Amino acid sequence: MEEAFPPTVPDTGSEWPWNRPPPVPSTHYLDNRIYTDPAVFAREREHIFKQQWKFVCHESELPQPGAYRCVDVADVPLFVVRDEAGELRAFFNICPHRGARLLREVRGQLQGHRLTCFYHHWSFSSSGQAVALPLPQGYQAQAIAAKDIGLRSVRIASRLGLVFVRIEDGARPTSLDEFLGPALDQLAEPIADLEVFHYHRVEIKANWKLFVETNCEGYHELLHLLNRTTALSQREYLKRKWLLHPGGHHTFQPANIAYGKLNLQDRNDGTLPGMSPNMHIVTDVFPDVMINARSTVVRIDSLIPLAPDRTVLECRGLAPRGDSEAQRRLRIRQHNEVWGPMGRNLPEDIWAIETQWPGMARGKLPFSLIAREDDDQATDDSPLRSFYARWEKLTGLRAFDIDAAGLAAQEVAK
Amino acid sequence: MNLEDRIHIHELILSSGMALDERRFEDYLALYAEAGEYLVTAHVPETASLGTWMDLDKDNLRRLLESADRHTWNTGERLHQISAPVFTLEAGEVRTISVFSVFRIDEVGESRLYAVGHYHDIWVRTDRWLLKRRVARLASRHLTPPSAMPL
Repeated sequence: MEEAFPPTVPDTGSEWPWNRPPPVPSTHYLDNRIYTDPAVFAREREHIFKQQWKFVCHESELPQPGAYRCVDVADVPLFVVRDEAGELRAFFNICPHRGARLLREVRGQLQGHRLTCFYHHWSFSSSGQAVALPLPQGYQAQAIAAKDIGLRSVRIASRLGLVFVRIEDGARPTSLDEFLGPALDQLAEPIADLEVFHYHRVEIKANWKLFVETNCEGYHELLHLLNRTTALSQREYLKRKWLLHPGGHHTFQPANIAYGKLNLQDRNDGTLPGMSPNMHIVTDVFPDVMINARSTVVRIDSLIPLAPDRTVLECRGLAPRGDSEAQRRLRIRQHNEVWGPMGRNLPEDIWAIETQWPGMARGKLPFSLIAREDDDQATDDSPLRSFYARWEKLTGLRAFDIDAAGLAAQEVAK
Repeated sequence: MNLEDRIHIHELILSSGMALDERRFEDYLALYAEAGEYLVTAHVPETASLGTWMDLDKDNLRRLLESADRHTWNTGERLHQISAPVFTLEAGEVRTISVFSVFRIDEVGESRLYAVGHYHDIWVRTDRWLLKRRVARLASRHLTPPSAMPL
């Protein structure tokens, strides 16, 4: 029998200790200041978003040499471009001369593999080398020449079409493959040859981790009419397992969704390679990438944290290349049925977490629970605990008490 | 198409917004032909294409509206403001374009703009004028917080 939550306050005079650490292991609750404290946010930006591989776009958004895509990571404007040889490169989208924004459209195509700053017309090749400084005689006295100047580059790598960058190396830099480990193995077939057909972004009035958490536990599926009707209602679904990978990544093992229970159509036609009709797979890549595959179509969410209480959610929809017009229309319908800004599911997650953040701000609810244990099955909180174990390692903070000393020093000493 | 038809179609366009605002979903559905379609599109710079954010036939539109009250995104009132339409006659079909704005009113009565765009409607006449296809082409791309309710 499921336990009641929130626990009922008994009328015996005793109460749940809302203002004190709950009587569970420290791994099983959170100090809610991790969501609201500006200093924690700043530390996350430096130690997680700048020093870890960060998903920025899909290779299909850069279809040919000279194609570029502007992105933001940890408050740093970047652009990703395919150079003349077709290699992916990433640079600060900042002119090294006087700091102007180099590329101002969110995506586009470089003309002649050259980009020119609109301000003083310094120009650069698609490999980042300065190629011309107008009126160069003015720099001769200081021996400044185009051949010595380049854009600030950023590490970039891709796997299965997903493009990642890393702004800073940090103390223990890893390759993208080391960073990902086996996290994407489950998706290797379904996402190997896709293209982006959908993009939208939503600014959420809540901390970024609250959105991540919606994809790290199945318990919240009770929130969603679609999920509780087509998923949780199946006894077998509750046995669906989470696999916890090193590095804070997780995969939610395949399950079959009973779309018919909500009078929605089954997803029999055009299933992705390696998937069967109505199959659902979830993969979370630490810290902020959530990949959902629903047999015929894939959604990739990623986050741009702006402030403790403001987060941009970027959502992409992907489908196989080479679809017929009718097949693509069907996939778009299936995508939008659940996801997209007007899907049944995504808006509910946003509603939910936008109610959470103010409840946690300014000490109104100092602690929250991640205490469910169910053998890593669907509604276990173990993926959340895995996420926060990684978060602690990178930030040097304790998620159960951000004032707790020791971890940062221990980690630095290792 | 005479002046009377124009006035009637204009009234139907206005009534579509009122039916949604007042959650009279059966009345809203009754505006559509049996083969009617409802779409929401938006130009998306990130994909350099016209994105389709909703694409429903009448049956699926009905299913969505029938379950609307069971979803969690339906709190708050809405108000549609719709302009007079521009009419064109094309291949025997009446087409209209009108500007719409959707406002949201929260629980304490504060209103704010949620979305703006154009309705691109195609009308057919059986025993009465019916919507064959409505495309709500959004100028807004940032719906916050979003909702699956038709615009």
